[in-house]
Amino acid sequence: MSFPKLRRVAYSLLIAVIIGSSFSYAAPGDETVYYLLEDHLGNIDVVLDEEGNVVERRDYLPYGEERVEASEEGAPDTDYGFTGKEKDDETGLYYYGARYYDSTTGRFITSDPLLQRIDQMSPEEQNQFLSDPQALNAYAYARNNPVRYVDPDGESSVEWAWWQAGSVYLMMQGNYTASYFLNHSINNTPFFGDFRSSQAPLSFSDSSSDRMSQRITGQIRDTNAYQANINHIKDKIANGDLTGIGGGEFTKNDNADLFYAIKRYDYSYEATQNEDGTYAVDITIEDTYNFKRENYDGFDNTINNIADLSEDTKALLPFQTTIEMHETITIDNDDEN
Amino acid sequence: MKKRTITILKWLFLMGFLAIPIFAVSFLVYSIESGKFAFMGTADTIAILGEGKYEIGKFSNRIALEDRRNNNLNLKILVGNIEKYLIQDTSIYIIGDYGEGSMKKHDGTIIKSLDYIDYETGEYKTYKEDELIPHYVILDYKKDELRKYIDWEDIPEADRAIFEKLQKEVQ
Repeated sequence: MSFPKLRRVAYSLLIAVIIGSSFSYAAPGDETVYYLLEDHLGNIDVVLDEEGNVVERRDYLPYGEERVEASEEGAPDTDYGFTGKEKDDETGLYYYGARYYDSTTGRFITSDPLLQRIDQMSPEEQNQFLSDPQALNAYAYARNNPVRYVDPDGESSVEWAWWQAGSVYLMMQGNYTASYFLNHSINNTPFFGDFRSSQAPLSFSDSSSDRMSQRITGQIRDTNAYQANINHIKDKIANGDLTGIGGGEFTKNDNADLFYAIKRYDYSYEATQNEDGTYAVDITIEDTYNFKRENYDGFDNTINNIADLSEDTKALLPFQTTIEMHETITIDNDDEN
Repeated sequence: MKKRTITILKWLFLMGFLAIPIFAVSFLVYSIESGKFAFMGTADTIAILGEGKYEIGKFSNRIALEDRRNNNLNLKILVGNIEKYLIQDTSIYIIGDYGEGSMKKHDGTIIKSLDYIDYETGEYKTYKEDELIPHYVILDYKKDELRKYIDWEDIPEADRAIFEKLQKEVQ
């Protein structure tokens, strides 16, 4: 069994234990433990008593209406059913976190919050989004494919909580940039069949008054890595190369926050000579925030390996970062060849 | 089953429920604090060769071989756009142009560089516009010996067999 599959099985067992332990039923005065068993979509389809006897069987139509419910005497009265969600007794609606779902009509009663954020997507994401007609149906359940998908799934939620904890801890340690980047990578609308393959790109500029832009560009300017880039650009300009590219790396000693957030990066520059002989240099630093690894290389890289797997399950999504820096460089006569 | 047994079982369930997230978060915190279980960042390092003298690193949209012998902060790229590579014994076999290479920007434009590192001196040099660029690179990272070839026919037969294997087997 491959590692990702093994992990999914482990997660499923974990979720089963959590659901099993959370949903045990006790009658007042005479406590009895019942076990709620699920099918592949998380539907509660069999209820066992503590001796392993089947006391209730249920089956559902694809969109959640109850097809069969056969109960023995003394079976528990539980509200959890279709996809393991809680059914509200008064309204008959299932509670799915952000929205309520009506299994009679097979529709959510409110629209998909994701649609309200379409203007925040990158052009590529918008294209992807618009290429799937089901994504445009704001009230559809599981993209109108309820036999295959569940909306949302527990597996991503576990990962979501784990990475949120990581983001909060980074922030507590003062690594705001790394926390901001990790938080941006966390998929807040996880469910099987999520159409997105990346988050919206992030852009920062030292000419922007945006607080995050000011923080990141200030941090970068203080690093030895960036100063080394500037020196290299200076040499190139002295040699007559007014455009060029290069690479750099923020080390943990140089700036831990940028190390966690970016580490290696590419940069390109474009220089124009000013009237006073100095050069105005536009430097663009670029990085892809992702966790894809060539291989799972040992226990020392556990967190990165887990992050790679979370990217597979789309609990974490990659994104592009662009940082614009503007410098004025003076070339001494000695530098020029 | 007695009430007490059920209560104990429930507590065990509860402890199991709490123990896993507590362990998970503690592990995460320990990883960040100690740096022992690489937290982010290092996903950019694909391989460290020759006890840190060279690294294969993941940049924004490319994989590159870096020369770190000088140990300064001005990161030097030997092969900027690795197409395929294979590590065998103490050597790395690379298919990719020897030099800084090219960078694909966020807006899709590609910027090419004619710069390369003189392996012996560590100095930057520039290819002429019409100069052919070596495409096959062999680095013995233990002996610090680098060979690069433009023409397939110039590659020694034993090495050519490895490049053939590389072309066929490595994605």
